[in-house]
Amino acid sequence: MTVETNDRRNVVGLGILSEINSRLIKRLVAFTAVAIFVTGCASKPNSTLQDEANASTDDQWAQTEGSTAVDEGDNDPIETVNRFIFAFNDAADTIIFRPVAEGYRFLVPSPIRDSVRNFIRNTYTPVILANDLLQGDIEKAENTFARFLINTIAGAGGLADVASQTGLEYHSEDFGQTMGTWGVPEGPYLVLPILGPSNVRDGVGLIGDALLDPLTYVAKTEVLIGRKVTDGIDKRSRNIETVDELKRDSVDFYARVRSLYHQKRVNEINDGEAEPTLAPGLTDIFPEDDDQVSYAE
Amino acid sequence: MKRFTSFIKNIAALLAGAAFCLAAFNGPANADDDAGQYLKALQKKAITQLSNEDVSEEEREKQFRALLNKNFDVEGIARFVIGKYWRKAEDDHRKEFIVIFEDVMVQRFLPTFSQYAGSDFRVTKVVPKKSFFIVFSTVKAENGEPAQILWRVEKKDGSSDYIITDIAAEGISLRSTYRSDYTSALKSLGGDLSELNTKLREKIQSGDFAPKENS
Repeated sequence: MTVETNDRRNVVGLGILSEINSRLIKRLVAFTAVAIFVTGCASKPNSTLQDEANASTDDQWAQTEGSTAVDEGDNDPIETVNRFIFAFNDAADTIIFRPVAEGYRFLVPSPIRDSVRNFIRNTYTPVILANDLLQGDIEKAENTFARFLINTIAGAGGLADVASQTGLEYHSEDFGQTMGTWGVPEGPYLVLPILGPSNVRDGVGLIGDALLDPLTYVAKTEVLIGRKVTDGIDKRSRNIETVDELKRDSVDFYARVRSLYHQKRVNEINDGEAEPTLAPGLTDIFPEDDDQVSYAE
Repeated sequence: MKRFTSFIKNIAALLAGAAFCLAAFNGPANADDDAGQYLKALQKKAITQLSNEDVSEEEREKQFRALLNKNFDVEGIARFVIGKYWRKAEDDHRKEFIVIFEDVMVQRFLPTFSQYAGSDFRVTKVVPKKSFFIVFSTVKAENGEPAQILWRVEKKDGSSDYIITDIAAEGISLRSTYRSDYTSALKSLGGDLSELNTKLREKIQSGDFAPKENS
């Protein structure tokens, strides 16, 4: 009797696995096609821009996001639409997310909040690992894999971040960053409903991450949404003051966020190095030629 | 014997070459060190002045202002952050903006610098660029994570002193951030610098730029 059920289970298990495989492969193929298409689209107009920039400056890092781009609106051709969605998100944040995040922070003690975050981070391990590997960063891939083993076993299924105490710090990677390290330009700035600031590359990256995540194929939709919402509330609860300050401090909050998003992404893609050594087309934090533009009178 | 002398000659030439290379490579390296040393010295000065408990708030602000004006290119940064609108602005408004921008910097960074003045400050490396140096540093507050701060340091025209032209914390550059904000605001104000001045002055008065104590 028991043998029979075991067999049946195995068969069912294998069936699911093979189905996942074929679905995964199909989706990955489709996704790669989309990524290549977008990459092609995004890099084409930029390459002419780069040629022009090349003619005027000999510094290869200062060209893509030269001061001209900054002055002309930070690569934001659909600014009106973006501002509208931004205003919507801001309103939704004021009415829903900020109060919920504040309530969450007030009601749930800090150690439990940390456990929630650790658990969610642990479930994203395959995505991070896949991106580490796609970026060719073996060291980080090892770190991610070791963290997963340690935290899943010794950290009670990922609730405790034991690994970081042994020096294996958490790091996040996503497919937008991966494409960035491949030299894919970020493309126009986008504000996504609810999800917030993004750009064409990182928007595609979100789809990529979903496809790279095994849970996408095995977990129920409710679980996936629940994880996303919890993750969002946790993140929001950790930057309530920062966002408040930013709002007060800036004259044009939208423009401030757009600039910060861009700079943060460049920094993440460079892994904190000011001088990108691998991918061309990334910005220097301190471009060489910007004085000339701003001081020209 | 002839062979021996030529051998000696070769060695001598080699040594001379090596010495020349050393000298050539040491030259710029020293200049880099200078930029790093300059920042370290500045930090020491800042500690002694800003973390002095006996000094009144007013006096501290005065000292910070002096440090700021001597070591930061306030005017250059002010010009940079309004981009192309600088050219169109009237002279009076420009002057006013520089004064206001200094106030913004003081309100925004005096608390931060006072807080970090006594923390562990390390210069990790100095990278020379064509017209400036990037000084890499890490700052670690007493119970915080170490943060990477980059300083864009230039040599002052016609002197051996240095001046800071930008700061970037964790990849976020001060100049770029303010530039994006202010040029965008100016665009919606029809490029009128005097209106931005009024707005900024109001914000300074209500203390909007000051970071909250416990964040």
